Amino acid sequence: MNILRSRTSAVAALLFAATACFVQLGCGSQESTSTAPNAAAKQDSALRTPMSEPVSSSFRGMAGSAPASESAREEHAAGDAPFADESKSPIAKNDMSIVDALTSLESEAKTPDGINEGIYENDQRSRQLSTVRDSRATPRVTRATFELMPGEELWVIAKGVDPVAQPAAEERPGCGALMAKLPDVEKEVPVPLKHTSVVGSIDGYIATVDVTQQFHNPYNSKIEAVYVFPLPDNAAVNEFVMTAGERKIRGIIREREEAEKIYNDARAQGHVASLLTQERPNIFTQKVANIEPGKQIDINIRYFNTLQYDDGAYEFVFPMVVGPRYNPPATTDGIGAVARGAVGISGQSTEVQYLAPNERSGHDVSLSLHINAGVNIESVRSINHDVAVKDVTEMERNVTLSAADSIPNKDFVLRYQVAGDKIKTAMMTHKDDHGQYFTMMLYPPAQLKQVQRSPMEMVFVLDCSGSMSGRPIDQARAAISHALQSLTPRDTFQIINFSSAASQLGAAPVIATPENIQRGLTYLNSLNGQGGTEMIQGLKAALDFPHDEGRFRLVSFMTDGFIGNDHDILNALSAKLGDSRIFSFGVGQSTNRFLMDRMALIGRGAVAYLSLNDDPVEIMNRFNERISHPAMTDLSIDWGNMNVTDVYPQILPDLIVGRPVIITGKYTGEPSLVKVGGRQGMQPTSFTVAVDETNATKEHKGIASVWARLKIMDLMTQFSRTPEHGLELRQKVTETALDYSLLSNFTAFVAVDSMSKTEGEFGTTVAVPVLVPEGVKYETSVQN
Amino acid sequence: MNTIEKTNEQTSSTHRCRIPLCWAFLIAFDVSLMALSYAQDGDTNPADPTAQSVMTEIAGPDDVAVETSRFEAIDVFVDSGTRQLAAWQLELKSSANDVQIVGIEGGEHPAFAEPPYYDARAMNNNRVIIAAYNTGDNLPIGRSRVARIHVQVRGPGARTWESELTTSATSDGTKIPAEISIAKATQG
Repeated sequence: MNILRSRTSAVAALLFAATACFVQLGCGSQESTSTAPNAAAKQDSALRTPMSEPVSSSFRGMAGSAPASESAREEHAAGDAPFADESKSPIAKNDMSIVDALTSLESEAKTPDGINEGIYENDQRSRQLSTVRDSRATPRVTRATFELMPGEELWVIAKGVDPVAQPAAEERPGCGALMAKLPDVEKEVPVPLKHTSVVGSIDGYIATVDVTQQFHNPYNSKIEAVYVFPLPDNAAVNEFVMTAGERKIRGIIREREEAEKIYNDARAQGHVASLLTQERPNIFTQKVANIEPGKQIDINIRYFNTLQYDDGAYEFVFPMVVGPRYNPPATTDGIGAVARGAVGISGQSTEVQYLAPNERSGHDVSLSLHINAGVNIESVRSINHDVAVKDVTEMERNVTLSAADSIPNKDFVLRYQVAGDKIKTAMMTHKDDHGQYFTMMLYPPAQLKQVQRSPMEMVFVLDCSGSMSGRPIDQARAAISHALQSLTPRDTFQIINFSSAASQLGAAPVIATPENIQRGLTYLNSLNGQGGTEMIQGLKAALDFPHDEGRFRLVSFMTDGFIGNDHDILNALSAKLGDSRIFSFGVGQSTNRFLMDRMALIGRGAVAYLSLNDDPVEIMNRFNERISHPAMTDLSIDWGNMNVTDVYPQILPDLIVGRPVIITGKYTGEPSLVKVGGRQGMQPTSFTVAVDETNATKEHKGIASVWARLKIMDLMTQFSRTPEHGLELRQKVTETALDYSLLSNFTAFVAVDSMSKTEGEFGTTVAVPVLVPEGVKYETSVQN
Repeated sequence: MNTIEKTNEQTSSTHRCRIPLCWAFLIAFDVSLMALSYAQDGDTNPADPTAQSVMTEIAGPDDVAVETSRFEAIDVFVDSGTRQLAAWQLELKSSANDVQIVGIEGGEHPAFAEPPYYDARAMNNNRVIIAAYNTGDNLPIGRSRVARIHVQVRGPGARTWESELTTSATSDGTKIPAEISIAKATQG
């Protein structure tokens, strides 16, 4: 029946086509002499739409915008905000007027050339206008009084500070703050970031994480919120949605300069807008413009990343705060660490403002995680936080961060042990319009453990800068002490410390005799944290001295990595590495994991993290186990039936006992047998793994994003090493990021709500101040 | 079947050509063969039954400087007639180079309230391909706003937008005829 109908349709179409052809020819011959009917038809068509509503084809642009924005404001005020009814809002209860608040906010603006041309009108009542200067800027307090007569208006032209984050000194925006009284704190500081929600899902070893940042305006005038925050350095951020009330607007990935221009235009015109940029692979800046008093704007970010596997346990990490970075003199593109309100004093392009030890903000974090490991989970352990763990199946767990542990001042680190005998090299794949992708976790063969290591030249490099002062350096010293005592007289060792400069135990490495080890321990105990973080000095001291050909040089860096010149360090490491291997140890609760991971990758070693809650003996025992057996080096892979291209990392790292390597690439063909070749010591060795249908069929849509992120990281490494190819590499990074809708150094997400237009041009910029990481001393790491 | 509404300049400028009569028969025969093949195949090209390209002019102020910019939104409607709309894909582009897409918002019906995804590779300053689907039971019938595109426009005057619905389907995957239209978004 259907076929019959289809055939009938075909005949009809045939007749129609033939007729149309004749008609067309006829019309063509007639119309060829006149273009006027064509033009009329074109005009008619252009204006004609199938819609029935009167506004369908022609609109008044700007003429209609004023009432439109007015209604948007009404809509916003009516329903969107938690304090839409101002009579019920804490703001309304506060006596301070909008003029007072604005003036106070204005007083924070220290950048002389930044101009905010927002014009504000008072409510025609007599008011007292007070201007309070920040005591750090000028010790004077200037107070001016204006008495207004009925019918008079007072206009305040507020000076703002344009793109730089503006401080929120305690004297001012706090006036209208929606802060709850917090126990056990001396001072409550209103901040425009209320809450961060993290919802993650782990499938195998790929995590999909949704982060929602809830910005609000606790002040009496509109603001631009600026928040510098961390994400994992391998996070492939590919979704960005701005939510205002019930309305959600998906952000667009653009070249960074273009996105910044769009955002600045929207901000200047009073539109609610948001911009997400990347400052470092693990540091990002979120800006939200034109948040009206009492209103809330949510920003939803989604990313994918791969988890690390270490000695039988996967590790999921969500960083919660950027640690205070040290920037060497003459650096201007670093990450400044300044006290709340001390905007601009670091001289760096990006600044993080920190709350003083006696200050707290209301910003908290919630986190929930679903784990589907694919194999039985033996145990789940949170390193720094209290969590509730619920068994779903033998392979699945639900993990929830305790509400009592919701202060974002340390990394969330979750390690879950899986059934060791079930672990095997496995491949996950994904196919889309771009092609076919795979990611493979390549496990070291069991035979690696059968060979013992050769004598070592062990170099311990300890960061003794101010940020390491206190518990972090205690933890690092304990770890080095244990490692020292594990050395044998076949080995030599050296201890180097660096802060503003580097110094060392002796002129050259010494034999690890009991006496020398004792000497080393004494030296170690004399070291304390203070001063800057001139890591390059430590690198030079560790890698520049002549290599002992009879020993395998292994350099262990113990640091929190709180430096702003990451790429300088990595480039120096790459240049000086030689035959050495780098094992990096991230010490503390909020380590610079990008630096630590990259140091280990470049140094063909491994990374480990030593939280203040970790047992240093346990961590160093794992380290000793790893270095007790020679790694499988000079890896090469025969992919069998797969035609593999664009593999990352491009230089395969060594396979070390207990540490698998994650390899990601594009391919055609069918996964089957993969042969891995290399050397163990001087001996060639190889092993074969099956990545056939039994363990290569796992599909994950995040793999393409993960691959693209790795490609971008690789290109960025080249970018920093070969500035002469900067333009070409920048173009490649941009193209890749735009193609895969990924955040990068050169791309950014922007979202503009063109339907809501707030009054005035733009509000005062308020940075979100954060706590220094747990264990870090504010006094020794933050500029005042 | 839906009529295909092609209203761009290229269409209107092709009317002058003269074709010999024998060629006309040949073309008609070819078209007939294609139609017959299409009917016997039974496997329709998803885009064909519903694809339509609509040109719409969105007016703008004439009395502004060339360097000024404004933000506005374009509402995208899909009319699926009496059928429930479960999936759609469309393309929106402007012939002008001084417009930029700066945000994508969802539609009015709960089924398409979430902001639709866009094709990153196809995304340009003035061009976007977006799509959405919903497998639920509560789906729009008739004309419904499925998306709102926020744009930045530089300089005075109107801009012409071309919209094309490339896919529209019911929840069981059946392609259905539907019409696309756009309009400048207004409050309310």
